[in-house]
Order: sequence, then C-alpha cells, then structure tokens
Amino acid sequence: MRDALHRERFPTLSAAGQRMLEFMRHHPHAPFFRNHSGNRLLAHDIPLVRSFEQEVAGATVGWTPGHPPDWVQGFVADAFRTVPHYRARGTPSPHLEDLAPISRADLAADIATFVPDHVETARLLQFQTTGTTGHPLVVPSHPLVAARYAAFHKRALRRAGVVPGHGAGQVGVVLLGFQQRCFTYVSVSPTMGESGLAKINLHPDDWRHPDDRARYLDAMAPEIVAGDPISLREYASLPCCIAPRAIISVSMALHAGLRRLLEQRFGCPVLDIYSLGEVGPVAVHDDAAGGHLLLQPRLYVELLGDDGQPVSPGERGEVTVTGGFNFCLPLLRYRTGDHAGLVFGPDGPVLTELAGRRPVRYFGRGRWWNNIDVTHALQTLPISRFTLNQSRDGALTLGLAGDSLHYAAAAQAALARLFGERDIGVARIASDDKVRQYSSDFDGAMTIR
Amino acid sequence: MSSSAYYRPSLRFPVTGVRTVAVAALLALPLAWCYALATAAFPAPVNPLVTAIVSFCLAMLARRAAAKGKVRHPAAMGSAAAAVGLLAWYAQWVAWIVLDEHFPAGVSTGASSLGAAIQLFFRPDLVVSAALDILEQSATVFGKLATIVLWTAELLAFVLFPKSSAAERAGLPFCEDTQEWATLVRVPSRFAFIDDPDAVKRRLEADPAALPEILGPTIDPDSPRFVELTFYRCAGSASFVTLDNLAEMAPDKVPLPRQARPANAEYFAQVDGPVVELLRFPVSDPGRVLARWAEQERAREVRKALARQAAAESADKWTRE
Repeated sequence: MRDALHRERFPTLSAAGQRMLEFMRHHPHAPFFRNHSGNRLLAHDIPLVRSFEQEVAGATVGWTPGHPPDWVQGFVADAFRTVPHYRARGTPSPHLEDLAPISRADLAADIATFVPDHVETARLLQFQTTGTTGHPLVVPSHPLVAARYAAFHKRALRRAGVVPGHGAGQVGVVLLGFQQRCFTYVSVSPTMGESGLAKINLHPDDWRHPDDRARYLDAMAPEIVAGDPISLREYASLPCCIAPRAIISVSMALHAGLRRLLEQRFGCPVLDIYSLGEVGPVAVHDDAAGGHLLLQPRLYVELLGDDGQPVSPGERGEVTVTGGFNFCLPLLRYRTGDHAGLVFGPDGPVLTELAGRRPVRYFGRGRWWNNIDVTHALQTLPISRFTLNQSRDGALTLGLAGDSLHYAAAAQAALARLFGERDIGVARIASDDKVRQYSSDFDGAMTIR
Repeated sequence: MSSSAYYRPSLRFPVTGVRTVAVAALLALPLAWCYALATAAFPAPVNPLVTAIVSFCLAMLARRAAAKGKVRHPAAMGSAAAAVGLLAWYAQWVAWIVLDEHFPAGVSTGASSLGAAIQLFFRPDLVVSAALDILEQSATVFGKLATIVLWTAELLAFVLFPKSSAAERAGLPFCEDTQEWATLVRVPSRFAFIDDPDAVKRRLEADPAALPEILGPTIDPDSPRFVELTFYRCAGSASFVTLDNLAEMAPDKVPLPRQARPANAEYFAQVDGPVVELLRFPVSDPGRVLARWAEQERAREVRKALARQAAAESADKWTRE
C-alpha cells in the first residue's frame, strides 16, 4: 500500500531521485516532516511541462486596455460549452464586458460546477487557499497545473537575471512556512533532473533543535527559497551561511522594508509575486515597471468598479481576470477581491498600488499569532466566512456570516486555544461578498514592512 | 395522441412489419437446417443446449423483425413470432428426416438432400408419417411417451420464447410523432428512495412534468436504497419514464453462490414493483433534463475526487498561496 502511494506520488522516480528524497527527509538536522506530497507527473507529462515553460518564456502579454486579446473569445466559448456553471447561463455574449463577473462566493458555493466536463477526475487534485483576505476556498487542480507554476516563476526570475539551473543531486527549491501547523514534505522535480524540493516549517516546534533550521537550510543549499513574508522574516533571522540565488515571496504583500532586509541579508534578488490559489502566479513586482508586471500570457485583466463596470482609465478597481493556465478551473471575469490600478509599460501591463493581501498578526497570551494560525484554528468548523479584528486595546472581534452565527460558541472556543480564556466578541458580517478577513489596529500587528 | 398517463402501444402492424416477419421466416429455414445438422451429430445431453441456442436465435430474429418493421401490436407480433417458431420447428423436422434418411414412401430418394427436403416440406402428411414411424421404433410405452415429451418441449422452445420476446419488443415505447422507436437511456444517476410509492404515483399521474422536482437532486451512488430511472426518449413532445425502487440485497439473499460472485459486486433487488412504468413525460426537450442529471452526477464525481485528495495529499508547486 505504501509502495503504491509512493509510486502514485512519484510515478517516474529513479534511484537517484529516491536518494534525493531520503537525503532531504533523513538528514540529521531535518525537521519533522508531517505530510507527503509528490510531483505525480507521468512520463508523458514531463515534455508537456517543459514545452509549456518554453512557450511561457517566449510569449508576451500582448493586449491593451479594453481590448481583450484574440484568444479570449475562444476561451469564453469553450468555457460555456464545457463548464457546467457557465453553461447554465445559456449563450455567451460576444462581448466579454457583457458577461456577469464571478466572485469567490460563486466558487465557494459549488466549486465542482466550475470543473470542465473533459477533466479526468482520477487525476484531479485540490489546493486550499489559506484565505488571507477572503474565505478559504478549495481550488481544483491537476499535477500538470501544479508543475506549470514553475514556468511563471522562471519567467519572473529571468527578469531578475536569474535562470534556475538546479539539476540532479541538488536541492532546487525550499518552500518556507512559519506557522504552528504547516503542511511539510519532500519531493523531487522530474523536469529538472529530479532536483530536490522541500516544504518546511520554520516554527521551532517542527524541529529537534531550533538551531537545526539554519543547519538544515545550509545543508540543503537550495537555489530558490520561497515563502510568505512571515516565514521569510523568520528566515532572515536565522544564522544561515549559504544564501539562495533568489527568494520568492508569495501569499501576502511583501513590504519594501522586508524586501530590502532580505536582499541585504542574502545578497540575492527578492521577488514579490502576486499569486492567487485560483489563478496561480499573476504578476511580479518590478520597481522599474512601477508595480506588479503581469506574468501569464493567457490571462486577461480588467479593473472593475463596485458596480461591476470597468473603471475609467487611470482609476483603481478590483482586479478581475479571464483565462489562466489551470484547465481545471477556467475563469471568466473572476473578481479577485484585490484592488489595483493598471498601466501599460514596455514589458506589458502592470498592476499598480496592488492592495488587499496585507499580513496581519494578533497578540494573545503574551505572543504573536500568525493570521494563518487563526485560519487553522477555525478550519474544522463549517463556517462559510469569518473575519477577525483586533482593536487598539487588544479586544478581538470575530465576524461571522449570517449562516454561520450558530457556530459562534465553537469558534470562540477554537480561538481560545490561541488567545486564552478572554472575551472574543462576535459580530455578523453584513457584506455578501469578499470581506477583509484579517485586520488589526493593535500596535505592532503590521510590523512586517 | 393518447390521453393516457402511460404509454400504450398503438396496436399498429404496418406493411413493413409484414415484410420483416416474412424475412424472419425465410431466415428461420437455414437456421432449422443447421439445428437438424447439429442434433443429428450430437446426441443428448448436448441437444437441449443446441435447442436453447436456436430458441434464443429465433427470439432475436423475431425481435429484430418487430423493431425493423416498427410493429406496435404486441399480441399480433407474438403470434407472428410463434408462427415463425412453428415454421422453424417444422423445417427442422423436414431437414432431420432428410439428413437421417428416414425417407417415407413418396419422396424421391435419388434427389439431393436439398431437393428431398423441398419435396418433403410441402408434404406435411409425409412428415407426420415419418415422425410416427420414428415413434414406433421405441420399444416401450415409456420410450414413446418420453419421445413425445421431448418433441413437445422442443416445440415449446421454438415457439414460446420467440413469441414472448417479440411481443415484449413490440410493446416498447414508440414515438408516434416521429415514427421512431424511443431511445432507451439508462440514467446513471441515482435518486432518493421513494418511501410512499402510491402517493408519488398519484402525484406523477396528475403532473408528470413535476418529475425532476419530485425526484430531487441525485444522491450518492453508494446509497444502499435508491430509485433507478429508465428513460425512453422521444424527439417529439413526450418521452416515457420508469421508476424502480431498488434496495441492496443482503448477502445471503443473493441468488448466486458466493464463489461465483465477482469481488466487490453489489446486488440490488426491486422493491414492490415499479413506482411508475412507462409514464408519459411531456417535456419538449428531454435532453436538457437528462443533461442536468448528468451534470449533477459529474459534479458529485468531481466533489468526491476533490474530497479524496483533501486528506493531506497534494502535488508540488514552487510556491503555495
């Protein structure tokens, strides 16, 4: 049974790949790996991933505001033909702007109806967004989709002058977390000579000794380190001697202060990638471009106002996307909940003043808690949406959607594990759509800058 | 257009039907010859198996004749199929007499087997006489009786199975609007078990268009009790549906020895007959209803696949949002 699962995770694993897995998992300074994952790529997938990377590397994001690129019409027609949710709407309008946008709430209502008919369920995967700004969401995916993330990261890295070159016998990527509970595993990338890939949690509870964190990272010597700003800040504080060639920040907004700190500490480029579970890597921050430069050649972005209409040129609006590379979740005018302006530079469209993904930490029982810890504390409860706010005086208020108010007592008990036995107020979320999930006025809550 | 809530055959036996039955009768003759060859070559106990095979072939022939001929008169089609069976039985007698050289007086022995068979075919009196001669060869009364019983069983096999099978085929739903047989669609979705079939039947008879609403959303395919829906789809204004309440059988009730059951096989039994059988379902586009059920089923399959992967298993990405 274990062998079968192992083969399912690593269908093309060679003896060298197996040695790499064992090296990462059983290193004397290795953390406690709590989970398993794998590339799940079949032999015939590997050339597909490589050709996709070449295609993405060479393509341009060639559209101008208000003029959807040619591929959009075919994409919309395909989605209306094969995706139950869109099909139920009838015949698509020939004009993209006439299509009603969808939101996270639509996806959350029944994600299964967004999976096209032709996607084989046997290889279907799911990723859960941690819900930094919106409510947690299941995102259907596929091993090919997961592997294709690298194409956009490589595109972003190339702009920073880094061409990943890791291969057999090397550790390519280490993903960092810094949470009380974190999904951790080791894997290999068959598209890059079965180089190693590890997801580790820098939280001291996941290590035999806290000093092992730096020792392990030095021993792995990854070419790329990726993480959210909270884990990257912890990474910067470790006495690592070996620096990666590049650092990628995702999940939350990376503030300039922390980026500078990381650049100085490791002497390598630090990429702030705007990435969403539903869409994948959308854009990379580029100082020269004046914002986040779009990365996906087949992703069309509009900015919509509160009324659902495109905003006037130069105005900020809600980032709304059509297209994407996740063939398990074709998106038509998907409102991301994030807001930005849109300008067009020599290298393509750029999102300016992107906002909506600011990390928040909460104070309780004499220590700070990551907002992801809050997500985990509440995730066992079947609540549709929640918010958590800490006021200037430290008082916590839990917001619950109307359909979840009866879980208030259970939610308070779950949060008590983080914040102790204190009064946590409960309020009803009035808005029907995406809300700012984590917020705080407490001094120091937003210090990650 | 019938006003009944249920499908009723129109009792039409078109000229095409007469032609297809005639073709079936002609095709039954070489079949009878083959049967005679086989029974002459293989004595009992192989004979009953050969009889069963030929009976099955005749039934299929008669069903095909009913289908191709668009015969919607079950009783008349049953009689026609019985006549074809009887003809085949008579023809096999003729062939057997010729092949086994039981030539009665009056048949030219110098002719070829086929020529002798044709002569004999039009002389039933000689066929009966040859049969009686064969019967006389049995030394005892018991032997004679046993032979008669065997011949009768053979006759019944030739006549009754094709008759019932063809009648059943002629009774299947036919779309009178388009003059085509309704297409059988076994809906793969399962629906919630109907606890009060009489009430549902009354409601459906009063408002058959409420069927999707009454059935509700599809349910988990692993449910031990469910409703199975059989759909006869017409391109015209009405299709027909049959609803069966099914329940999983207890292992000791399955009419198969345990060792003969495939691994992981599930057995279901109908509970108290169909809830409705061939109920007229008056929707102009049944494809949409079927597509909606198919979508529900697909969504369930997707949800199940996603849930399966939720157990802390994943695939690699360079970053995680």
